[in-house]
Amino acid sequence: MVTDEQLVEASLQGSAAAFNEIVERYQERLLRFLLTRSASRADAEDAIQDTFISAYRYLYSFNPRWRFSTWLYRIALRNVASQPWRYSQDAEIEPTDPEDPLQICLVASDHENVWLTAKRLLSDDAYSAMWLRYVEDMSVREVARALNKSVSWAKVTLLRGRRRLKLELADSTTAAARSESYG
Amino acid sequence: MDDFEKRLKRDAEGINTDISPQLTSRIEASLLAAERIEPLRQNRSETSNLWWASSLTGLAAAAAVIALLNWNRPEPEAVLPEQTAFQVVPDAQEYLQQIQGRLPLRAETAVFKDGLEDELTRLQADFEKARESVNRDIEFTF
Repeated sequence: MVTDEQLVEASLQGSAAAFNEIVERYQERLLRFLLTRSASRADAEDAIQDTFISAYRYLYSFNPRWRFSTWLYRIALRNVASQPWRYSQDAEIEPTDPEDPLQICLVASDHENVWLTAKRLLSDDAYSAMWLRYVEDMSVREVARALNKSVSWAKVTLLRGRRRLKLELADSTTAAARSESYG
Repeated sequence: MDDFEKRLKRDAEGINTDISPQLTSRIEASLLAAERIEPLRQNRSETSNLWWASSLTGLAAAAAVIALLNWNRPEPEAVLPEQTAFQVVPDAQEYLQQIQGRLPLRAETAVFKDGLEDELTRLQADFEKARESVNRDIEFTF
């Protein structure tokens, strides 16, 4: 299988098909991430379009020392951060908002989607760090790089986020079991 | 990977992300219109050529300045023989000969004059007494 870095090299040498392959590989993953960070699906689609355009234009500045996905997510995070509708870090996010794209896109399940809980409990950066670490399988260093933070910040944030989510899930599980026993 | 991490991954996959054909065509169209920005790079050989060129230019300029300064420099005066420090100070005997007759040496004579004059006066008085004594003796003898 051709690696991302080989596709980048081919694209730099003028292959349009190589960059199309990159788009194919990442558009779903990126959109899934951006849907959890955007106010609407349209905004998430705008953000993904801007991300691919920026990646194409500045492909020469990609440093092969890092994984291509780290660089691409970094661009995506910048695009999200520059959008005017962006939630404030301190603002309370209302996950039950019917306009929330994450709420709309969730597949029906017997339990609450953990990312919906994460969106409610964690800050934007902590949420992104958790996503990049556990969904995109990035290392702690890559998470720090993508978010433009220090490695120690990433370690602490991941630890706290994980602990908080686990506690919340444990509480909700206990509450569900209790309501079942009463019912 | 523990259960918690599995659940994070599974729930992420539970987010529906159907890519619409409109989005795909939008991305393709915007990529076709986008122009790639190439960084201003200089390859190594160009850089080394520039380095050599600038070094040679600098050396040539320095040589030209040195030549110009030497060309405009005034003719040097006749070179005096080298004199060591002890030759600069004249020899003591020569110095005394040079200053002889030019410097009044009066201090020493002034110091000893009074004592000698007193002694001379006393000797003259003694001599006068002796002469009168001799004259008196001669008168009495003849």
